[in-house]
Amino acid sequence: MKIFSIAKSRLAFLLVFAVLLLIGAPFSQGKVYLNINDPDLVPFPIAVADFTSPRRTNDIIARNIQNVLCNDLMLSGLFRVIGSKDFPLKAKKDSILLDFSDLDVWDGSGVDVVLTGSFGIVGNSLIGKFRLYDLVEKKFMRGLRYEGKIKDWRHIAHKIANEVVAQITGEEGIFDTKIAFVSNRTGNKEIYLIDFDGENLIQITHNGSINILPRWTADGKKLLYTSYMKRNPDLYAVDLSSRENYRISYQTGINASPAWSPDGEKMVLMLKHNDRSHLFLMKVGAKKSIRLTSGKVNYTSPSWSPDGKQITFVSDRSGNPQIYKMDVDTKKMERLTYHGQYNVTPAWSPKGDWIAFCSRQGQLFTIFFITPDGRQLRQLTYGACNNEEPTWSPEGRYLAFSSTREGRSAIYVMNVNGTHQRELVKFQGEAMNPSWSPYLK
Amino acid sequence: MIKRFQGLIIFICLVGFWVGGCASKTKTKMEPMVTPEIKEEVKVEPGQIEAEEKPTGIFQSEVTETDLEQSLVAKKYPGIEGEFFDSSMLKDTHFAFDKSDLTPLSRNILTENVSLLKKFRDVKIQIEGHCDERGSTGYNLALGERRAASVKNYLISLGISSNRLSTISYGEEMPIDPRHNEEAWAKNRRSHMILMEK
Repeated sequence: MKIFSIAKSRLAFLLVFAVLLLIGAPFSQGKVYLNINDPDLVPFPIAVADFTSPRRTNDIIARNIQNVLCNDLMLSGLFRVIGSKDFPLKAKKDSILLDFSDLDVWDGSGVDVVLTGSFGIVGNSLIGKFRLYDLVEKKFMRGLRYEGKIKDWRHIAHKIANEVVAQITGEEGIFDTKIAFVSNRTGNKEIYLIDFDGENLIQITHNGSINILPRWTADGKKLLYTSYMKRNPDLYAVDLSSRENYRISYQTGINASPAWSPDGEKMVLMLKHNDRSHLFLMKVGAKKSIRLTSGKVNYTSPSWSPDGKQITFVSDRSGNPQIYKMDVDTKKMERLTYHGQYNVTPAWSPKGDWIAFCSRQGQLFTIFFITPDGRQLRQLTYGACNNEEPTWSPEGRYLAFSSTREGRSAIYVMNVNGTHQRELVKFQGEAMNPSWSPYLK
Repeated sequence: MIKRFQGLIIFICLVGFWVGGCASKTKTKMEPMVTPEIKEEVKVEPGQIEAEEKPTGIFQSEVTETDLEQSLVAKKYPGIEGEFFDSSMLKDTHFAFDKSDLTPLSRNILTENVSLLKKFRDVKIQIEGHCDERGSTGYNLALGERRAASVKNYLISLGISSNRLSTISYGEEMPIDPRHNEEAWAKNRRSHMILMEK
């Protein structure tokens, strides 16, 4: 999405794809209304006025945008959304207006911020705006004007929710990110994509084979996955805009689980070497890969540290799978987990402070965090079911994972403190191997 | 003695035909290439072998080879390139959770498989390593490879040439029993042998 100045608004009006116009103050990391790092975080109350179309001609799309963004805000666990029916009596008459001329009517309501919006269809475009008001300081906070394709209304709603999060918390929102996963709902395992809010499910592969372990490229434009189409677990890439698939690594044996470095310049993946799975470093554009591990043992499931200097992974060199980390330059390796006989799927947090992984406890698989120095351990999930394969949202506030709590395997999302657990999407068949996208531009 | 010699000739013919059939690219199902007089002697239902053949003590190995040939079924995994031949006579070996060691039972099974296969000199064998659904997809890919490799190495030690052998790990992707319990998991932790075309 491109940013234009007001002077260019006529040009922007002509653009088919979504554009964004600044009409409020330039974005600045000003007042933080809600500290998301507060362990005792209380959801922030935000009033949301009824979104309407500018001339009240067709309110449906405005109302749909409002519903999607309100759902985002509630799913985030950061907000308590107050709808117009719970507005103070004096504010109710203004509940469909874009401008709250008299902010005094909110005095004593306990609400600090109100969001208003107006969206309608003009020709083939969806045009509208939203505004945020600070009810304590009684001032206009932020307003944006959007124009885009009608079919992108859902995306626009997520963008507004992102803006709300940015304004209230000072951190980037992730409501327009996606989660890739595998499902056998067609009878075989194919790769799927879904939005953060569990909507907009798209089947990405249709090859009828076994397709597993989707992983994002650092720019979020491609998905890599392993497929058995050619009677070997080869690595494929699919371009998410053209939907073209190509085979990118096809050595005999395993080609799987690629982890892109945060700078997007290299990846570490599993390749077969010496009858075992080993980790190889491959630089973009380079012909040869560099083997990082050796010996008659397995190395699997790599994940990068956010500074791009280390990787965490699984090895069975001790006789059973445990979590290790390695400095990629020096190849110095360190074992992190010593509890239990089976620790797998490490995922380094975007802020670098934790490594999430899955541990077998008795007969059940449970999600744990460990600090990268191996000193602190924290259990995230409980209950008589398996919770596995944690994957971080790009800002590190949420984890997606697979769980068998309803019997079959399904994808769930939770806050990093283990709260607000929800099933991402309900459908027939199983879902596994979740992989959260980076920020999508 | 003469009878034994005859048997040997018949057997060599059989192997020749079988390999020839294998090489034919257009063939989708392997036909039993047996001459009428052989059929008289060897067409035995599995399970009857013991009762009918053991007393003579002569045709035993030949019969089992022919039986193997007749038990071969052309197959294709959905969505996976290439046809192969599968036989219920080539037994699977099973593994403990997170293990790739061959048990004494597994070694016996593999020795029997090899005795069936040894004379099909040109046929390529693919060893599939499989896991149960528990644990991670990526680690199970590696574990399946480890299982297939331990079978491959044992077959080499029994005299099968390594260039006839390939391995593939299907990780947890091909359970033969889809249930989520100990009984199913035990069945699914296995190595499976299939015959590829030359």
